[in-house]
Amino acid sequence: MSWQYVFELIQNILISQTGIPHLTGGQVLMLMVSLTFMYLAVGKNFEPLLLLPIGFGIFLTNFPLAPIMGFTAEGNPDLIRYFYKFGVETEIIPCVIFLGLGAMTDFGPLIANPKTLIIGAGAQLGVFATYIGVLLCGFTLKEAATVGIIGGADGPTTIYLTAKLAPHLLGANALAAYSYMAMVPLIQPPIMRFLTTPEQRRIRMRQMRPVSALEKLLFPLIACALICFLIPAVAPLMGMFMFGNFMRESLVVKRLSDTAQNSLMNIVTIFLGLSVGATMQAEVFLSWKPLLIFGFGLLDFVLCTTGGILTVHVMNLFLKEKMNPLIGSAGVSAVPMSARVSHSEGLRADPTNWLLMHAMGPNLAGVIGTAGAAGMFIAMFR
Amino acid sequence: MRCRHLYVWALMAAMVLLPCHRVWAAFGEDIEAPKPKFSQEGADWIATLVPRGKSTEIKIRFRVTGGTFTAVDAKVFAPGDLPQVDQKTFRSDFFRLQMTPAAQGGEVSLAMNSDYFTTATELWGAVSVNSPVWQTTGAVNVKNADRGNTLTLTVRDGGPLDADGQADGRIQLICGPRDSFWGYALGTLFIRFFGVFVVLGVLEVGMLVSGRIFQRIAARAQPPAAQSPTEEPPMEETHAVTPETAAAIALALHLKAGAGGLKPSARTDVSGGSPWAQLGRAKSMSDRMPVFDRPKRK
Repeated sequence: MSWQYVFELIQNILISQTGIPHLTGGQVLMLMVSLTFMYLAVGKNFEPLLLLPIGFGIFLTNFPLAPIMGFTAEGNPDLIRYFYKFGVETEIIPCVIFLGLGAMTDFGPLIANPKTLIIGAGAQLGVFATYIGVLLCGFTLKEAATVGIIGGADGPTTIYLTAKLAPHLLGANALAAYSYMAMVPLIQPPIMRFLTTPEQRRIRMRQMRPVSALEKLLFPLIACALICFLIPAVAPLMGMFMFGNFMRESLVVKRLSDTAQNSLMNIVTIFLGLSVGATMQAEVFLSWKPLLIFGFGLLDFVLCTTGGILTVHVMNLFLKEKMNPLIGSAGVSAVPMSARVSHSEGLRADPTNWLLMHAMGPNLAGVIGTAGAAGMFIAMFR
Repeated sequence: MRCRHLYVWALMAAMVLLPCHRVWAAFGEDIEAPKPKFSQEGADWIATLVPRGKSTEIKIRFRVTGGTFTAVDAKVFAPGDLPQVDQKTFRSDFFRLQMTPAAQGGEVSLAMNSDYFTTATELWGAVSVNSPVWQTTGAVNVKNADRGNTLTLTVRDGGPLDADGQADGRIQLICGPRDSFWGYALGTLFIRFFGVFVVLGVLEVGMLVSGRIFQRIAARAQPPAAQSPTEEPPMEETHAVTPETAAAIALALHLKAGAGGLKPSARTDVSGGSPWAQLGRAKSMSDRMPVFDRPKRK
């Protein structure tokens, strides 16, 4: 055995079996991006439950030759590709997350004040306005719809719609949606102050009526039936959402409800985060599109917040008992963060004005409104 | 604090870059380009394809009268070949139809039929061989009895629509059904935005009605309240408890009920009212928060 043979052997091993010679600049950049997201999740506590697994997914998938998101020589999917294929591509995970969210949701504030549903519809302004802007930038109709839905501030709906219409944008859309949702307390307050006067911010709303257990129990059935009749395309999402809520309100399947809220939700969150992160391979992700998506996502959030507040202003023209326009911004779903923002802005204007419960109504309406908008898009492209 | 204004700068940058869409429109491959498959059914040809902006397949049936089809296939244009045409508006692609008329220099009548066509669909093609300007061919659009529309067009061998321009007994027509892209995008969008209002409005009405019913049922179920004046507390006692004392009592009861280990509220510094009242209010609100504080998964 000559030295030359040994060197050749080492050289071959280095080239064909290690990733170092295959590392590209793009992958280095994506590794840095992943570290940034992990820092935001761990260091800054920005949506850690999702940004952490997404960040780690980006981290894992950008190592050269790593069998993570590709296919084996036999054509079988690699580890995370399996998660993606059976969880996201089949649209199972977003629906299961909606099941858990339904089990966590108390619809009391919305049932007590159904007028706030209209705010949830008005807050979809950004979804549709951004769609036009994105089309102008050369995106396809389906891509534009998936970018537009980011402003609805509803992660599972964004993922559901993107997986259905433009799966190649899944990583960028999900990341933009969750990043901006984490930034709701930064994005919304200046818009809220700009669109309201100090007097309007001090408007007090009447204490809401108590909602009986029977009303809460029947709400998911009535709402599910109406929505499924009107927008059948969104039945998988809404069906799971309302089923989760029905389990919660029935009070007879506490174990199932607890599982949906906790264990099941946590399990699918892990698989969802890793799968979404792993779609962001350097060769796929590094283009103009993700940058544009991030730009438009922000615009989308601003327009949705604006739409919600303007809807309250319009409604106040016709209502005897005026609503505080600050609750309009909660029409973007981002439950419960945007309701908290409305509450804290209300406190800033009048320290004795408690808006939290009033803002939960439009907040929950926003979830239904965003799912409705997604259903409209799915039906449009069917 | 500067980060708080970061999004304003990002928005301004987006606004500046927005007019450059023509530059960006070129990026990426045309992932939505239809890939039609052709089949024959008797003398008719059928193209099966997924048009732009759709997820399900559609069928276009080609029928010729006064001649026969030689071949039907898709015409693929390179990006620069049709400078005056926006390919996005041709949502079901371009076709090359090769036909043989009954006689040299004769005419054939072409009918294209699909559920996908609407009354706004036009058939476009190069109307002149020498100067291939794309415009409407003047095909007649007729609504079918069941669904969809039929585009009918007469083409003469060697006429302006014949791509070879010669009366040689062969007609080659290159054409594509065209829909108004922006008309469709904006029209349907407006309808659907309005649709979200309608859906939530219907839900609102449903909830208002059911809410009234439930309230009425609850009111009937409640026993009538005792109205005896002797049971009312004396006025002096009511006024003896100041708001501050009431807040203090409420807070004490609240803490005794098991909320002693709570973190202090983020907003204990709010002005107005006595410190007792403020602290009590802040504590109670902090305790209500966890009800809606589902883990930040959304």
